[in-house]
Amino acid sequence: MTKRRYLSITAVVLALALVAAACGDDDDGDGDGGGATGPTETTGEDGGVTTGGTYRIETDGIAYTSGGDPTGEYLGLSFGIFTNLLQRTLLTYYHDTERGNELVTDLATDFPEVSEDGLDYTFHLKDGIMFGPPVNREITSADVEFAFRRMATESLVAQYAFYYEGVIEGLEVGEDPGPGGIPGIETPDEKTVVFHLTRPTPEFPFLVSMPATGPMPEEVAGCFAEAGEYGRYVVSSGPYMYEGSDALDASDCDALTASGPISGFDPEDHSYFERNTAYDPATDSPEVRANYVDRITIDLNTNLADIFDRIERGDIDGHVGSGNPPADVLQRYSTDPELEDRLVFGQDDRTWYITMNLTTPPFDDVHVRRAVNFVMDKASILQAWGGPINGRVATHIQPPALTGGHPTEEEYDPYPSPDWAGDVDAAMAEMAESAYDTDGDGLCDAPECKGVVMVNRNSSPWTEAEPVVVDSLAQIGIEVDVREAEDHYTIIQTVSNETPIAMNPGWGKDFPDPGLSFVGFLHDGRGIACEGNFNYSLVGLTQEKADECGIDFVEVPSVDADIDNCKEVALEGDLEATTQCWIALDQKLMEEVVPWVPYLWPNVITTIGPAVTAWEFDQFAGTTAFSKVAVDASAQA
Amino acid sequence: MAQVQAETSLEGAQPSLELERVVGRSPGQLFWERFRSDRVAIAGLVFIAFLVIVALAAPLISRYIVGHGPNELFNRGEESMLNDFGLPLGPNGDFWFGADRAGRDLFVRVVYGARTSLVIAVGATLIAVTIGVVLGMTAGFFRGWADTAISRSIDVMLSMPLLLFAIGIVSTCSRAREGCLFGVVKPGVPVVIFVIALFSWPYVARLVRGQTLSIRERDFIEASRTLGANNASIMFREVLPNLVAPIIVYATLIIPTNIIFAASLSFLGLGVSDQQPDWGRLIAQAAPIFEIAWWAMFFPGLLLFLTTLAFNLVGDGLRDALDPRASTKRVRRTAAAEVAEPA
Repeated sequence: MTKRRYLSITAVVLALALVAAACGDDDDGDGDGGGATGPTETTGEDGGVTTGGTYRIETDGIAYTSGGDPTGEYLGLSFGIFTNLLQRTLLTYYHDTERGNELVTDLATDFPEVSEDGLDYTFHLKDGIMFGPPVNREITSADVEFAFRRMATESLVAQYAFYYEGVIEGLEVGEDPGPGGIPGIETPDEKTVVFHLTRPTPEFPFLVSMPATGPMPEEVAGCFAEAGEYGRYVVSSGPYMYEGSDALDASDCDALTASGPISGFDPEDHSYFERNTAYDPATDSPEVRANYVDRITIDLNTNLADIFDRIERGDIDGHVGSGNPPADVLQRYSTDPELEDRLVFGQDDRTWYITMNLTTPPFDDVHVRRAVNFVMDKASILQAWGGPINGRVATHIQPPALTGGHPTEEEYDPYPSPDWAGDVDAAMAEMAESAYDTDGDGLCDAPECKGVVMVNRNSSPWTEAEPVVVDSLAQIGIEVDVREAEDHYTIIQTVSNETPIAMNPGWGKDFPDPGLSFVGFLHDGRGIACEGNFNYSLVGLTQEKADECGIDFVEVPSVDADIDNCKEVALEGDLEATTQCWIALDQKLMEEVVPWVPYLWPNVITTIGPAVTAWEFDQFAGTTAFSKVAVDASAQA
Repeated sequence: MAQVQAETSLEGAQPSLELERVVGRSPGQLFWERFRSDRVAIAGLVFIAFLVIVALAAPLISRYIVGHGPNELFNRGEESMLNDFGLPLGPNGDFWFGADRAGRDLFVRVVYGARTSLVIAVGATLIAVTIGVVLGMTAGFFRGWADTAISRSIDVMLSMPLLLFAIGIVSTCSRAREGCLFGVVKPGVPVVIFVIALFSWPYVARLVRGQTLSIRERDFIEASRTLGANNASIMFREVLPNLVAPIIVYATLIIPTNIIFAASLSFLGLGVSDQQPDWGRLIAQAAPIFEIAWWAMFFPGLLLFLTTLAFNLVGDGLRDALDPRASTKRVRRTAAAEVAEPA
């Protein structure tokens, strides 16, 4: 152990020397963090896109799950910020719409060498990729390992450690295992990382593209043992860094905290990025990160209407935050030819849905669940969300984009109705087969059908869509009692609450695997957790799990075998067959299990200022591709 | 001053001349005469009466006059009251107040909202007054440890951050279907009434306690005690009738406060559900679209304003009529007389 540490210290010293040399080579002498790298000269044309300048963003609030610590951040916007600007991972995605779900090498020189049995993945790191200030040293395999050690450290609350636990040999969330403490991660030399897996995991390349797996320097990140603390000391490995990073003193933990936090980042107020002086564009590709602008600023402005007014006037260049622009903004931009071009779109890999609990009456009857699917007026829900500009009606669980664009809502709708406005007759016919319709007239009339608790958000557009859902359910005799709550997710994620029906959830992919980040993950009975559960419908619930969570056991359908089957197919390496397998599972769920009423595949929409010369949608993160935005500084107000 | 005194003494002389006529007027008649002369208060009363009728007749208005239910959606097709972007359309011949964000008839929802507001405000006020009178009288009449216990409880209640506790209680009790306090406080209207009453009774109790303290020292109480009346009889026959005036005045004045409080809670998304129209919630839903759909905020806001104004005017009128000595008008008149005096 001591020897290993000694070696790594030597590595640090060597790396520092290299950094000095590298900086000397690259620096044009313009200094001041203006960027030793990339196209930093004043605004000018570069293949049609202007470079330099500041991209000014305002947000009505960025929801951080861990105060900006990459280990614990689990929302699309943070994914976008980290993967575009601050974190390089072994593999990453092209940050655009077209290839945004396609993997590309980043830290790694190449895609991994996989052993014959599919259990060992070997990655080699590129030379010359450096940590930014205050660390300024070359990134080594130990820094990658350290990211996984942080994930295994319980107090840091890695939100999606469950993807890795049980997959990487010996990775168990608990105490920090220390260097070499995870048997499934080996670092034979400074540039090689070998992962040993417990079972063949075809989605593993996606897992090493998640921001939490990006390298982190132990000399800085190791100073913080609790979730949320490292966020304001994040050391960049990407093309940008937080402003003021160079003012940190990383000589030891005390000096670090005394010199911090970084002035350019306050999760409650602002995020200011400038070019990372240690970033070498030669190690990256402009197709992955173009890094047009010199600075990106994100400021808090709680007045959403004001943000869009300011964008329209050109005071700022963009918005990130809670969601799409308000309906009046969308209307103004869509109907004004001068503004039309400044309304920009992306299609989110996400499904908004109503979940029904398979264990609670009256939804413990599949006929009732089918009737709810038939009766739901999805067209009106879409209208309440702000009309067709906001997305497409969803007719099944998995967004088609994840399975090659098919089947679309036209190609597959197991509960068809004219214009997706709901088919009351079909719904009543289905309801008549249920025991909850005691007189067979197509209306749910048992006592269980009255006062059914439905959880909803207390915010727009869910509150606007609520009357539609209530009205649709009433047409088949189900009278709901709506609970609008701020902590709507906590309520439905706690199994013992036995929430019968909820219209708050939406699921966006974590990584673009057909199936594994959607149907194969959300309805795995073995994945049911008593708290923080994602399988709200409790598909595949077992007696033991029911006992553990303190609820009465009810016999429910399970698709565990189907999930395992699709994973088997995936192992054979035939992508088309795998995709078809997941599509089949999606359809089985929709027709036989019926846990959801999917209603919307949403668009991500935002507006951009008049000075913006390039804007891209990051398909992986479902947000602005921050490394591919550009402004014409001379046109900025 | 001399002039004023002369007038007073002259007035004072009149009763002795027309003793019969003056004695013939009951306190009720006296009150009504005074109240009737207050035109502003009468206007308030007429508005409240109108509002009560509208609230009671809401289902009839909705079905026979307008033809739209409070939760009926007009969100698609030819009759749609929403445009392509899901924004509501304004007032027209069929939808007098325009539509809300979900495409429902705002007029019908405002009419139904009157029901919710009145039920909550009156219900909560009745409960608060009942608790306040019982505890206030007990404290003021018996004094001693009962007074200490009740007065300190009042102090504790009054020191609580009202809105925070109200938000906490309402959201907690709205969680489960059975509500809280073992099912006594159900979600929806009951929990809102409960919370408002919970935070209103201390004011009533303190007022009643103070009044009782002063009444119990009066000679007529002493007299009935000498005649052998027990505590219960004194409290209900002697003290309580003397408390009626301040209680009525105060109750009328806390009704508008309670309407606003209930509206504030539903503005924050707490309390009644979306299916039960409520002015506070209508206003909250209108806030984000105010610039493009003024009607959505204007009409419920106007009704809320008029209702609280009407209750306040009636309350003021009642105070003037029931307790002439505290009358603001009287004071003003005297002041005017004094100013006029040198001339």
